[in-house]
Amino acid sequence: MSRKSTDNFSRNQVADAFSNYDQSVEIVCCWHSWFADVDGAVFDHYPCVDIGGVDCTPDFLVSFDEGYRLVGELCRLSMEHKGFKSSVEQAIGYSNLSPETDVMLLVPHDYADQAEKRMLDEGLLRTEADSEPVVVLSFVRTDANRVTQWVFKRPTQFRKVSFRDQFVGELSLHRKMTVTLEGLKVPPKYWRDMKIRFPLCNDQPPALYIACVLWEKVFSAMLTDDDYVRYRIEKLRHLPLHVTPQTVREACEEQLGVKVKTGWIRDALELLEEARLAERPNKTKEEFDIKFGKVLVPGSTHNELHLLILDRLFGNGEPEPGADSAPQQETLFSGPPSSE
Amino acid sequence: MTDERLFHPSDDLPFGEVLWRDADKATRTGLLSLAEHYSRVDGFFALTIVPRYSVVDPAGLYEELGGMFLQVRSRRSDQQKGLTVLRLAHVQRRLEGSVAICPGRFDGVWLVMTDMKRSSDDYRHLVEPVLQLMASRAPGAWLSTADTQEVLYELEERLHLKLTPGRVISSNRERSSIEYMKKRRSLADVFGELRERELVLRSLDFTAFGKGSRLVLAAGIDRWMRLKYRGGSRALLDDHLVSAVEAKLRQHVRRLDVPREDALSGRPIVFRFSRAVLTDRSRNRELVDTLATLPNVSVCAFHLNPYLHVALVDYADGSNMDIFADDPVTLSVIPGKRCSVAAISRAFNAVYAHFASGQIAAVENVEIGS
Repeated sequence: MSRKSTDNFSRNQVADAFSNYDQSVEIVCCWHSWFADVDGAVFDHYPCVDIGGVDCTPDFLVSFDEGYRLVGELCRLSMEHKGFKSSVEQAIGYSNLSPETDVMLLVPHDYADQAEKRMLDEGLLRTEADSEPVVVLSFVRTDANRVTQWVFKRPTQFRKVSFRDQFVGELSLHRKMTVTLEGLKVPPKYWRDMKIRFPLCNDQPPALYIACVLWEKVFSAMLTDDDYVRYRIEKLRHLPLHVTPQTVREACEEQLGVKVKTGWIRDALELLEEARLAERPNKTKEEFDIKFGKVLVPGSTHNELHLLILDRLFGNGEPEPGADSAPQQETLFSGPPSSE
Repeated sequence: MTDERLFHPSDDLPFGEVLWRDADKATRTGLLSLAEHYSRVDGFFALTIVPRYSVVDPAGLYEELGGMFLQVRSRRSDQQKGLTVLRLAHVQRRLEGSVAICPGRFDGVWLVMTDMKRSSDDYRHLVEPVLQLMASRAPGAWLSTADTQEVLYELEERLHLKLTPGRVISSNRERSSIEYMKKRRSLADVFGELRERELVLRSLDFTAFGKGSRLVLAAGIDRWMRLKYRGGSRALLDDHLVSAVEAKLRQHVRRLDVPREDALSGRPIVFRFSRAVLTDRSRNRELVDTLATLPNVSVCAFHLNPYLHVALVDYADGSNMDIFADDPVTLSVIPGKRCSVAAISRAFNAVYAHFASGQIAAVENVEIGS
């Protein structure tokens, strides 16, 4: 069987991808909740726009009555030359959506200043006020004194380019990020409900992440009351659930109000198959029989679904050192993380 | 006492059979009077009263779900609307018994009453599993130790009598022991000790005697809101104890029955701890483990510390919910589109009984948007 979802990755890397994606979900929700309070702004959580004949899916898009648009793109930049360049170029390309479009390029705080400098050094961005309408913002989650906040700021003042949203007034990002430099601090109360409403962002989720979302929030509603009664009376080991990516997609729309790409769902179902939580009786068909019920791994010390699935994929030996520690903000940098 | 005459107590027939025979004449008062009669002639008699919440008559549910593995016959009363007596049999196990389901004082509140002993095979096979299956549509509730204390103190006040605790069963939150207190002492002593040792009350039997050692009431209450009537005045029982748990059940359900959209608009369902408990990573993990070790549940912690975000799915009825905490005393629940009151109640019960003391907050007390 091909191990599409986890091939070539260590347990730690898969676990990190899970936490990183969760952070992305929260960050997009921060901005969604921010713009919910801005008059005349419409937030698109799952944009798909045609830019120069190509379908593009940035992380979010805000459209204002005034015609101004803001594209948000989260970049966990690769420091490898080609990867760095292409992801920055992709984000800059989003500004071609319209002449009144700005791009907010969100970069992890740890290296946001270096990254912006490098964009200038490599000629991807210029400093003049009328150069590329792209504003780099850093993001970081702070947990000082157990008070969580997502903090967004401009990492440097190298460039004279700013958001062209002065017409918004007090709540303009130009003001917050460029004039007063106060940035934005967003505690959980602002994004909690959004995160529950929008459990996925526009980026492709790791198969493990979407598998957990489906398992916790979608599959249970694909069964009937009678199925649960039978499960209990007949003391079945699990609830048999027959699905295809398409039926799961419909259930996602019904349960979460979110249209999820069939391909993402297929990845999740294949991961569950790999974890022996689903079977595919006919390999030529996209039909899966999910063994829905409490996930058990004999001998495992874990209780949480994503860790139990990892146990099933990687074996339930002792986790590698650090696997249970707080997820790092960034994992793509080889150097020691800056102090938090 | 016209009610009493509707039933004809028989020295030869057990309570359950008389209940079934005279079902068409049954009323709530008549049934309790019959129980009072049996309590006088049979020292081992006990009537169990289990309150349930259901928008539809739960007798139909009982027939439907119980009928899947039991023989269920039903007879409706001509004398009281909504009162149904069910005759239950488990043929292979040769078990038989009667249950009455009767409307409570409030809309939606129902009382399931039977003379089957809760420890008996009869109850274990004819009642318990059906009530469990019914829970997603007809939930019960649980009482915190403080709730039970409130109910019993109020009962003392209304009776103008002291209750004498009999057998008291409690457990600690680590599930490591069950404690029996048998020594005779006051209610205040019992609750003082439970509080001091942070024990969770599981059940408490009591008696109340009037002048000249006349038995006024002998009854019991457990944390699942189940009452046990052993003797004394059925009227005092009904007016002061049954009514109190009916009100508690209604309150419990109202606090948990919050539509997803309301919960997502800043009015989640809240469990408030008695003190700051979510104070570090290990405590947060303990809470997640408490939920995750529930038998029919899977949880996924999307984030553990310092704020907590857990998704929970309950395989008993397919309920799902998000649980969130971003301060050390408050647990917020946002129900999924498919989510029963019973599932939220079970989750909170696990938190209360196995993690830390607290209570389900009244909806109106939940601060909005702060």
